[in-house]
Amino acid sequence: MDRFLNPMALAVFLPLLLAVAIYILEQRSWRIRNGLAVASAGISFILLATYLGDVRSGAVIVLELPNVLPPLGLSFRLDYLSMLGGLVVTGVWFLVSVYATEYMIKEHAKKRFYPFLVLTLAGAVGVMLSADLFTFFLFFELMSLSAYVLVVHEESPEAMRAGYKYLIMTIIGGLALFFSIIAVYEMSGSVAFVPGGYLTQGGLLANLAFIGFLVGFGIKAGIVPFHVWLPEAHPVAPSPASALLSGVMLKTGVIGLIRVTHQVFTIDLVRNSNWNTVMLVFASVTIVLGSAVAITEDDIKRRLAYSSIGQMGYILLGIGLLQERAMVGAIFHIFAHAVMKSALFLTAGAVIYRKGKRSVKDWGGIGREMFPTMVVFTIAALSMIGIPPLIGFVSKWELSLGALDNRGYAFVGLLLLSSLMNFVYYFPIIQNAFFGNRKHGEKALNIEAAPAMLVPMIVLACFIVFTALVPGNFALDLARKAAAQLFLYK
Amino acid sequence: MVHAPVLIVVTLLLAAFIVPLLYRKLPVAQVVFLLGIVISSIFSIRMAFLVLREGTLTYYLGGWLPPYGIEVVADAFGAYASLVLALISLPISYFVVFAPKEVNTPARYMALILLLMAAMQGMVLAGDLFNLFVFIEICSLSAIAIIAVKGTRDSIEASFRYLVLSALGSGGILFAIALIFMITGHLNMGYVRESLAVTASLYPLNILTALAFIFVGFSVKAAIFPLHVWLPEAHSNAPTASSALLSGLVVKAYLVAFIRIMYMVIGTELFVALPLRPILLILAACAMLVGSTFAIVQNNIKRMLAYSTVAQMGYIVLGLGLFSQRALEGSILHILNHAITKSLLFLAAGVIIKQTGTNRLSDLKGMGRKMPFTFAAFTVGSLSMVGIPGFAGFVSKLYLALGALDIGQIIFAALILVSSLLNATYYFPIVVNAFFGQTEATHQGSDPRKSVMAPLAVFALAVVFMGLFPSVVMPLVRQAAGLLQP
Repeated sequence: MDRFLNPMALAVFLPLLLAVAIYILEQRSWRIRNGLAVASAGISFILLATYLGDVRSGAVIVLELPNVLPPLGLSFRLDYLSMLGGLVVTGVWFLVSVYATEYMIKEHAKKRFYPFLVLTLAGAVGVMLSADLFTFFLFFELMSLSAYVLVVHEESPEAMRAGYKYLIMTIIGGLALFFSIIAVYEMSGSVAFVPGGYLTQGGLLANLAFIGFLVGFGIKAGIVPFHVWLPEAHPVAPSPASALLSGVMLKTGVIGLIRVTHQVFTIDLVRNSNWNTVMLVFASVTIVLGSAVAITEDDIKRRLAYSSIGQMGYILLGIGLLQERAMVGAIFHIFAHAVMKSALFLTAGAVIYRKGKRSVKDWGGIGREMFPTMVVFTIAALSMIGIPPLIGFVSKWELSLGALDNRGYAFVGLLLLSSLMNFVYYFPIIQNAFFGNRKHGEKALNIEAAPAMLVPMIVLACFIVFTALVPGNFALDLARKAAAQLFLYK
Repeated sequence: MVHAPVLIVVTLLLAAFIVPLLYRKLPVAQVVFLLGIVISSIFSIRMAFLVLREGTLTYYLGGWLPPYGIEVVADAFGAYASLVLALISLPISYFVVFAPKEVNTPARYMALILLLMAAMQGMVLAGDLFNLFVFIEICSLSAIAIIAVKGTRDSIEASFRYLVLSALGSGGILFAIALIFMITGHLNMGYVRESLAVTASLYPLNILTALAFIFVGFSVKAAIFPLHVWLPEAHSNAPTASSALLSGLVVKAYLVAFIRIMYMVIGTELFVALPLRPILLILAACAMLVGSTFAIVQNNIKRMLAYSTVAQMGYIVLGLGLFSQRALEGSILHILNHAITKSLLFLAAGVIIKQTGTNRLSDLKGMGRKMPFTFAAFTVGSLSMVGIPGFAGFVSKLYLALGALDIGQIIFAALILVSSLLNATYYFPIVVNAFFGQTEATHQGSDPRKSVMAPLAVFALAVVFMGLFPSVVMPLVRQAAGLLQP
């Protein structure tokens, strides 16, 4: 029994239990419900953080439950990558949950929202900490399907359409993963994530497995052309859910790809089968298309959603380059993009909440009325563009250096082009907000977001500004060590 | 000598004869009915443990030894099938007693269910061909009767169609048994098999003809594509509990009997040598695709579930056709998993129809908010049918797909995926429309009282339990699959 009473098992299973507890207790009091929803992410975060020292000094903590779902069983592991992923998931989730307690006051069906919010968290934490493909898949499906409830929360016809698209794409992705996982099991008799990988043999089944992984994870991560659900689903969800969808859940797809390309397939197999080239092509298209379409979008949340697609392209690029430096950039960007994009979605949500303005054209003068909110937005947007010393710059720097090491000058050009496009779609918003004018005849309303919404945004902004400035950048440190570990066995 | 194998059948038959005598005292009849089911289930569970521990149990009725005496054989496969029948019948019987009455003659209905259960238990345990045929006949007639007992025009029409096709199937099976008897001079399965090893090469035509008739006969009864045409009408027009029994158990009992004839009489060597496996594979693939496609276009909830059964029978047949150890395990496991899931779905559908007064899927929009519990149970069933990990259906699909890859049949692994996607396209919209969207519910309705919902809750928990801990039945499943291997 003591296997279940260590902090790591609790970090994984506590949200699952709390989701049930919330469902039962919310009939009594909304205070308990909100408290538990915030606490679930917070406690998981603290539990994982207790391992931070151990993991940074190289320890790997393992938890195995072989009796659940044989022949494959469940297993969890904390290494550098899952540490970073777990902290990002629970940390961002905690801040967003705090924000949600205020934001959701106006919304209906809160009794449905919170249990599923926590259930989705349980899935996301499990995905990050899983030590084999099968556990990964189990929690991946839990996360994806419970997130459906968050996506369709508004229940407008538009939301239902987007939700249906999301559901079908999720199922297709899940089936693709299912196929790949059993193919891996068939080829090797194992589905564990083993440092250095263990599948060395190419061939039809291996190729099909890789395609399955690319489709399954690509759908989740919003890689073009599997992204079609994303620009529909992210904007229709309530803003806290959008922040989590874009900030956290997309990352599970790329974490999966990193694990698969390094810890299931060997790096030589990936290179010899030219899968890295495939990933680079997809990454390039994703970067260009995501950023380009974002420019044309007028709805702020749609613009942010397309921006996410472009940013996921960066991470895929970092994976596809098969190069340690680039991988540092990719892994760091998992952290950086999570923080930046959730900050952006939260600020956008605050503006929509207070002013009801979704179109960026109407954002004239908002910077003067909601000054702190728009400062956070500005910081996050500048970081997205890649202004030093904000964290967005760090990942681009590492990615570019990695690309240069491989003589991939074109990719550096691509990153620069993308930065320029980011500038084109973010800067006018900022300019308009601070220096633009209100629409004719509209009265100034100086209503700042409530503290419960403002504080999480400011905390995120602090991460954006200070992570790269303070010595001992824990995220970069973990990313470096994780990448080093991934490439140790090449 | 352990009496459990024969007591399972005897208890049920005894109760079946007592219950109609008590038609004036319904509460007493109900107690006898439940006692009969519970006691025979206890024997069944005990037998499963015994078989697991000590291997195959044989029982000679009245102490008369074969080839002339009647033999009951409880091997791992028979014990497993008997266990499935017992476990699934418990909540359904509870539902029969405690749910609002759908038939005017409850005592008669309960007697028919007992008779049906006795016949099915007999079918999966019989050790000789003649008794097998007797039980098949009882099973067919009582299955038809529990449809017709509803008394509506549609149900009588459906049961009549079922009767005609089923009788053709029975005729085929009887003819095949006669052919086998002609060659071997035996009806006891063990003796037939021994004799066939010598005589099969002498009379190949007889054997082939017998096989063909057995195959077609059981295809009709187990609703294997393309002889499933009677099933959607029959299963959808039956009373709720009958639908659950028919879709959950009856079609599978026939399939189990078919499989037992295959390995106990014909022998797996012959089964593998003949081109039966490709035929099974093609039929399974068609069943999975066609069944699901028809299910998509249905607007009647029970018809949709019935077509889904056609597709799901395809999964079981697929594993049989693939014939690798893991595929067989998946196939055998799916007998249980589909029984739990489909019983859950049919009971939930029955409750929904009863409470709302409509059976049209298009009328169920927004009803999830009014009947949260019933639709939650339906959702659990849907997730299992689609094969979402953590639910029962996923585990059998996992084994089937692994089994397909084991023998290099990537195409059939892919087929399972396509079929899952098709399942999603007809199960998920129901769930989604019930719980989400702005359309207001057009019908009245609320969750029924707790005693009616209890069987649903039991099945729903079982679906999740089997999804997470299939290891509880795997030892028996593995042994059963091992029996089929040549």
